[in-house]
Amino acid sequence: MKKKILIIDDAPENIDFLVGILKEQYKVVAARNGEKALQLAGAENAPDLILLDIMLPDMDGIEVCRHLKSDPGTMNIPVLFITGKTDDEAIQQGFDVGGADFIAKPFHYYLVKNRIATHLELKMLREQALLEQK
Amino acid sequence: MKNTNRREKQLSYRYYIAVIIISVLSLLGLFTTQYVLNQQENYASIINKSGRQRMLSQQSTMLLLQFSTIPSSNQLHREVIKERLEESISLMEKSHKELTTGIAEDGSVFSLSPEIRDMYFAKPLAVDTQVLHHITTVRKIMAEPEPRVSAAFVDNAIGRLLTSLNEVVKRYEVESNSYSAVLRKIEIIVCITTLLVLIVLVRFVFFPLVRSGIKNEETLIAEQKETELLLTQAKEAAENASRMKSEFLASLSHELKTPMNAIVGLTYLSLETEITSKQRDYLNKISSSAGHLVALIDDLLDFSKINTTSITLKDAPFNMANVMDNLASVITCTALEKGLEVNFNIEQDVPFQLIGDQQRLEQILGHLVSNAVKFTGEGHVDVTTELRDRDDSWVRLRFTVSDTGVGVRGKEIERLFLPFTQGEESNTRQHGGTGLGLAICKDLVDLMNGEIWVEQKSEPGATFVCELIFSYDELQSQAHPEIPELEGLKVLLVDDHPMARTSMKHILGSFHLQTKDVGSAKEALVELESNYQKTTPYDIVVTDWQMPEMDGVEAARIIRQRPEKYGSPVMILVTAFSKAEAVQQAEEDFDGLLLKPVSRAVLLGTLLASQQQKNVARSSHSSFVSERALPRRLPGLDLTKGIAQIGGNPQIYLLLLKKFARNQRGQVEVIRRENSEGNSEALYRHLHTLKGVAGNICAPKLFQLATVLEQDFNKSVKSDRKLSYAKIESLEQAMEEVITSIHSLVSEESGAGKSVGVHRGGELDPDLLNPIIDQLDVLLADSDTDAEKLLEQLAEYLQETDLDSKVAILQEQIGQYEFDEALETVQNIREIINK
Repeated sequence: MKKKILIIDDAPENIDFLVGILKEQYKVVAARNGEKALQLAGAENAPDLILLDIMLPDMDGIEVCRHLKSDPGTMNIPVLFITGKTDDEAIQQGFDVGGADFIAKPFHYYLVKNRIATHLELKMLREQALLEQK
Repeated sequence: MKNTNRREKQLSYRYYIAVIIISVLSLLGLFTTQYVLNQQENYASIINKSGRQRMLSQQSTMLLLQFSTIPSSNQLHREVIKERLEESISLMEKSHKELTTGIAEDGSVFSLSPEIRDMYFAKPLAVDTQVLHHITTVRKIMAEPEPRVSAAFVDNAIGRLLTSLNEVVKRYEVESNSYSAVLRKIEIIVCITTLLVLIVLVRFVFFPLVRSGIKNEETLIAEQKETELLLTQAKEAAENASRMKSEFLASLSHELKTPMNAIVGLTYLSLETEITSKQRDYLNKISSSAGHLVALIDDLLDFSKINTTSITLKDAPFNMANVMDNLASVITCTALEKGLEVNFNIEQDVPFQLIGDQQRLEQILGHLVSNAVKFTGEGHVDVTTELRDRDDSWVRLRFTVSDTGVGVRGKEIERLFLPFTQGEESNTRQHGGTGLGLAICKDLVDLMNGEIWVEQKSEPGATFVCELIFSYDELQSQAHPEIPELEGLKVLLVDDHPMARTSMKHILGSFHLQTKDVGSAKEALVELESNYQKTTPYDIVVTDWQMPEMDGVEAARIIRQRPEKYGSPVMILVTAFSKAEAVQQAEEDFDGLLLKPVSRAVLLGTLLASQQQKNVARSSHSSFVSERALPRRLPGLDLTKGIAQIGGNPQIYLLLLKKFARNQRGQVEVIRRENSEGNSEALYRHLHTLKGVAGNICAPKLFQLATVLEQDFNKSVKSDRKLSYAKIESLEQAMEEVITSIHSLVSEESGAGKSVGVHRGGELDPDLLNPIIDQLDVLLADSDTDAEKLLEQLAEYLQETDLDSKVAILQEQIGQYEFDEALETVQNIREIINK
C-alpha cells in the first residue's frame, strides 16, 4: 500500500506542484488551512508524513506542528516544513516544535522526494526498532 | 524678531552716546587738572617773587648801611659791596615791575586781583610808591661821594616797607589758597559727574547690552539645541525608514518566494507533459527567467538581512575541501556553457577541519567566483586558499579569486563594493545581475571581521582577495583518511595550466596517491614509456583535453594504440567543454570524464568507478547486468554503454530514457521547422541539444546523424544555413527507432492496462454514476488528491448533460483543494442523478 502524505499549504499552486511530483509514489491528501490539517492528521487513516507550510491563514505552521506533536495520535508523524521563510529564527522555531526537517522554497523536486523518502525510511526503522524492543 | 532688532538698534545708539559722554568727561577732567596745576605753579611763582621782594628790601638796606660805613680808602671793599647792592636793587626793581604789571619775565601773564592792585597803588599801603622810593633812595645814597644813611630811611625800610611787602605776600597766599579751593571743588564736581554719568551708562547702556548679549547667547544656544533635536529626530526617522524598508524588503522577498516556487514547480511539471515545441520553448524561457528571479530575490533577501543585522554567524566545524566542492558544483554549469576553466586549489598547510560559518564563507566565495565567471569571456578562473597566519587556535586564510575577464579599472574599484553598482554600466547590461553580490560580500566579510579588496594588476582580468579568520581544532585537523581501494596507485597528471595542475595535485595528494605531474602530452608519453620499461607503470592518467602541440584526446589515442609501449593505464579526461562533445570524445579511449572545475568528491567517485570498472573488466564480467536483465542492445540504443556511462545504475538509465522519450520526441519536428523558417540560431541550439542528449543515452545512430547535421551547419555559409531535408528525414527515422525501443522497454516495465470507457450520451445512469460518486465521496472526505483523476472520469460521463456546470464548479473546487465544498457539490450532483 502506498504511503500517505499530507500537504498543508495555503497556495493551491504549491499543492499542485507537490502533488505532481508525489502522486506517482504516494497517496497524497491536502489541506489549505491549519484546522483542516489537524482534522486530517488526526483521522483514522493518519498520514505517514506531513509537508507543512509556515504561513497559513488561520494558525501558522509552527502552531499546527505544536498541536500535532502534543497529540499522542499524531506525535510520531514526521513533519517537514516547506517554506519561503528561511531565516535562522524560523528554522530554529520549526525544529523546536518538533519539525523533522526544513525545505526552503523554491526547491527542486528531487530534494523533496529524497527528503520524504529518507524520513519515511527513518520512521519505518523507528517503528521496527520499537516493535523489536517490545 | 522685529522688537529685538529695534531694541538692539536703540542699545547700539545708547552705546555710542555713552562712549562720547565718557570721552568728553575724561577730556574735561584732564583739562581741569592741567589748569589747576598751571595756576598753582603761577601762584607759587608770584608768592615766591613777592617774598623775595621782602628779602631784597632788607638786604639792600643792610648793604647800603655797610657801604656807607666803609672808608673811602678801602676802595676795593666799597666796590664789591656796591656791586652786590646794585644787583640786589636791580632784581628788586625787575620783580616789582613784573608784580605790578602782571607780565612775567618769560612773557606769561597773570591777573592782579583788585585787592592786590589796591595794595600796590592805593593808600594807605601804596606799596608801589614805597618800593620805588626805596630803590631811588638807595641809588641816590650810592651815588654820593660820602654816603650817609639816615635813620629815617632805615626805619622806613626795615619797618614800613617790610610790613607792606609782608602784607602783599600774605594776600597772595590767601588768594592762591582760595583759588585752589575753587579749582579743587570743580575737579571734585567733574569727578562726581563722571562717576554719575558712568553709573547712568552702566544702568541704561552697558547692563542692557550685557543682558541682551547673554540673552542672545541663550537664544543661540536654545536655537542650536532645537536644531540638534530636529537633526536627531530626522536621523532617527531616516534610520527607522531605512530599517522598515529593509524589513519590508525581507518580508517581501519571503512573500515573493512562495509564488516563485509555484512558477518554478509548475513550469517543471508542465515541461513533463505532452506539449508542442513552441510551448516547450516558452516554458523553458519561463523556467530560466524564474531562475534568475529566484537568484535576485535571494540576493535581495541576503542584502536586507545584513542591513537589518538579523544575521548571526554560526560556529560549527566544517571542511574546506567541502566548501570548494560545493562551489565547484554550483559554478560548473555556467563555466561549462562558457567553456571556461575553473581551478580550485587549497594549499596543503591549510587545516583540514575549520570552525566557523561555512554557509557564509560559501556565500562570499560563491559571489566572487560567479562574478569572475560572469565577467570572463574566455580563459580561466583560479580560486586559491592559502594560509597567511596561524596560532594554536586560529588561522588567517587568504582566498584569492582571479580571472582573465574584463577586469576592473582604478575608478571603478572605489564603487565596486557599494550596493547596486557594477564595474561599468555597460557591463550591467551585458552581464545582468543586481549589483548586490559584492556589497553582500563586503557586508559579510565585515561581519566576520575580515578584509576584502581588489588587487590592481597589469595583465587583464581581476583579482579579488579576501582574508578571514577561523578557529580550528588541532586534533580534528588530521590528514585525510586513506582510501583502501586506491591504495598504492600511481597517477600521472597532465595539464598545461600550472594552477590546474597544482589544484588537482593537492586533491590527488589528499587521497594519498603517488602523483607525478607534467605540463604537456609529449612529456606524458615519455614519462609513461620510461616507467613502463622500468616495470613501474602508471595505473591512472588524468589528462586535460586542450593543450598546445598535442591534446589529451590525441595522446590517449596514441597510448591506447601502443599498449606494449605505454601500458594500459586507466585514462581519465578532464575538460571544460560541454558534456555532449566531451562524452563523444571520451567514449573511445577514456575510462572516465571529469568536468572542470573538478571537485574532490567527483574526482574520488570517478577514480573509484574506474577502478571498479577495471576490476569488472578483468573478471570479464559486465558491471551493469541488472536484476531486470535488460537487453544489451535495442534498435538505436546501446544499453550496455549507456548504463555504464551513468555509473552502472539501470534504473536511472531507464528514467533517463523515459525522460528522453517524453522531451525529445518532438525535437526533430522543431528542427525541421526552424530549418524551413531559417531560424539558424534556434536550429543550431536544438541540434546541439539533441546531439548531447543522444550521446548521454548512448543512441549511436541518432548521435551520429545529429553530429553530421551539426557539422553541416557549421560548414554552411552564414547567409544560407539550410540543412538537407533528406538528412533531417533520416534523423527523424533514427529518433522513431529510439523512441520505439524506449517504449518497448517502458511498457514492459509498467504493463499498465487501459480503462474501459463507457459513455451513455445525454442520459444519466445512476447505476453507472453512483459507484463513481461514492468513490469520489470517499476520496473527498479524505481530502485525497486522487479525487481530481476520478473527477476527470466523471466529467467525461457527464459531458453535454445538465450537470456540466456542476462538474465545472466541482473541478474548480477540487483544483483549489477545497474538499469540504467539493463534498457538498458532489452531494448535490448525487441528488440530481438519483431524482
